[in-house]
Amino acid sequence: MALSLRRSAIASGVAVSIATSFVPPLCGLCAADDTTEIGYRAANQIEAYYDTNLDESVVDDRLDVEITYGRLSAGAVLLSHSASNPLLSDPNLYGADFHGVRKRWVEGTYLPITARVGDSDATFSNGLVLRIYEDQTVDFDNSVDGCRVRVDLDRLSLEGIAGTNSFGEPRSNVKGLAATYDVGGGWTAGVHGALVDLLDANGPLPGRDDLAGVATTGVLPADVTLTAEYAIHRVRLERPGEPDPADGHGAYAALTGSRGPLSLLLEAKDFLRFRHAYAIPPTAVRQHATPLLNRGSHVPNIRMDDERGFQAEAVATIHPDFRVTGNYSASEARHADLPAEEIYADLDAAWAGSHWILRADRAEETVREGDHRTLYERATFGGNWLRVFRSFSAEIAYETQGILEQNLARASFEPAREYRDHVASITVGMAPTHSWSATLEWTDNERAVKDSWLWIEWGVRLGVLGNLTLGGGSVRGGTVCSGGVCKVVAPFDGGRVELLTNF
Amino acid sequence: MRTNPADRRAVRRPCSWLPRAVVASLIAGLFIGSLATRAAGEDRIKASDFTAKDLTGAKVDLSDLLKQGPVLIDFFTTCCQPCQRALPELDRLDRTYRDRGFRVIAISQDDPKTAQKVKPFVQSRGFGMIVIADPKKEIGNAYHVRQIPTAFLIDRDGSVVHFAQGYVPGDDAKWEELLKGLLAPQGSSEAGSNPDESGGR
Repeated sequence: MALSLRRSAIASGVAVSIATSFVPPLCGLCAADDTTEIGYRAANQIEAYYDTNLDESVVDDRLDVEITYGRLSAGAVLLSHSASNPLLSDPNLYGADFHGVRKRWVEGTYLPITARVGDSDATFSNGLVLRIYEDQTVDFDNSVDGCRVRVDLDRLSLEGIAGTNSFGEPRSNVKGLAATYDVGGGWTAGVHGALVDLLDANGPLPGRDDLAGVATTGVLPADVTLTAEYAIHRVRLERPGEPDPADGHGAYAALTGSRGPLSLLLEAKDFLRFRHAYAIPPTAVRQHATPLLNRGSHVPNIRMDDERGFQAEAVATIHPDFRVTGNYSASEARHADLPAEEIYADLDAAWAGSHWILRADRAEETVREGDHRTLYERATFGGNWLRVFRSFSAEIAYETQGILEQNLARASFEPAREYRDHVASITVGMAPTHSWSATLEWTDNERAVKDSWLWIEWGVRLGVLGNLTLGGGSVRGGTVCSGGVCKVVAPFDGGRVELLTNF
Repeated sequence: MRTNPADRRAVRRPCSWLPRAVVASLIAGLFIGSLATRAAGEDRIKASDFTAKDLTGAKVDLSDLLKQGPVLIDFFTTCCQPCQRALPELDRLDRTYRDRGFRVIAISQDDPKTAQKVKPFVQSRGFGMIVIADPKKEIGNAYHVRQIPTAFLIDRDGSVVHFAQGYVPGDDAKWEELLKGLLAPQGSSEAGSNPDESGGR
């Protein structure tokens, strides 16, 4: 197999092969020989939508290209984003026009060293000290423009990153270094450090964040896996005559294990004055897959300034076709009465030739909104039914959520608002090529813009090439969370076409 | 964060460019893709090789597994409903055809926030296939995973013979049909390496 396919680093990529004789060696690092090939891979995502309410049409075209030759690779992300009316549209909803190179980098591997220049990312342990990454599912990207170096020795791994944030505000300069040592016996220990200098003098916290942390992971007796991390956060305001805030800290620990039919997960977190530009630590809150539960998640309200809490989840596999999951999470603040609590259970079973899922969830949290606190109580029930027939499959899903909303500052004279949201969907699939779905959402919330939303979608697989999706109708929008990062999706009425290609 | 607000243009343009832009983008994407593969004289996309550790700590090398037989790579997350339906079917394929050299590698795309759930998730379902946690999405990025789940069926020579984004119940039947073609006896391996054209046999 070609050298470019055999690179030991896992992020290599090769899509096509071109005869070596046409390609002279680029430099000594390339290590070209008779089997060296130019590697090329690319993916293209075209998304076009038309909003009937705003009379707004948008076309997004994102092309990811990476070329490898021997030990070298270079990549770029080209983006073309066109909004038909940048004056009328809200850039926060649809983004402003952009045409050009969004990201680019060059990477060289000369084992055990891998060096990258350009847009770079790095995650130290669980992300307490530093988490720089891109998540396309929620349009999140906090990559830095700079350089990254990794050294992977037999038992010791070193990683360093330095750069300026490519996207988002405020502008900041980050420098980070991490070392992880394989202690043996399945245990690793690591130390991490980062310095974040805010370049925008008018930013919310001008000055510098100093971070230092330790982390370990390993297997305890009874095959229980432990992951733990602790970090200190120091803010230097660099304002003459003004004292720096007290030091903060972030802590995270998780235990996972399995005994017989029971699998357990325990997570704990403790954040105090731990807000900084690159802190995206584990949330210790259940991440849900259904729209209403995900929309009402505590994740967007996690307080990095002051929150501690835990999550416990148990999965009991009573029979291979019958599984029960239970989850409880709770958190509180030290300096304010802002509790959050959630209890969740689901039953997942194959019965009578169909696949059934039933869910129940109750959540209660107090959120600071402006100068007052608001209590939200949510009770959610739902389920899925799926059956595979000879030539097609059918799935029906339904979810309903009752919400009580109480402004605690006005509780003595203003009654709580109560309303209920519903989502129902039906999906028909004809594997492996076609799928159709219709999703209806309705609410009796008087403050909602509309009382019902209907979205119809058709998906087509284009063989090895990619996927085409056509959709139309209206979407309620709301908070979409992925991996603890949430994004507010705009309400949308209109049509949408998406084509994903890999080549 | 999709674009830089400084690039806003205060010019209203008609919508008539929309169809042209869509068509041009479509053509450009498809043309470049097909041109590149044809220039190489190959019909199939090559899979990116990787080396990683599975949940048990064992080393997994894709090229080593491909020496034994075809491999199906499935990218999933623990909180993705279609993934939860696809994985048991893929595990069934792994158990059924393992003795003929075929393996399934399930690669979790759970990031550090939910990565701790992967092991209990796998243990509670008793999966026997290879499961890798890829919290930094290094393998996922190498395969340009944009949707979860995404699956690639890779032949022994490293070429991607089929891939699918999303899971439609019944997809596993298609996978199995293609797989049987790849697992054909040595004498007919040439036809078997291109199951799309041979109808999967």
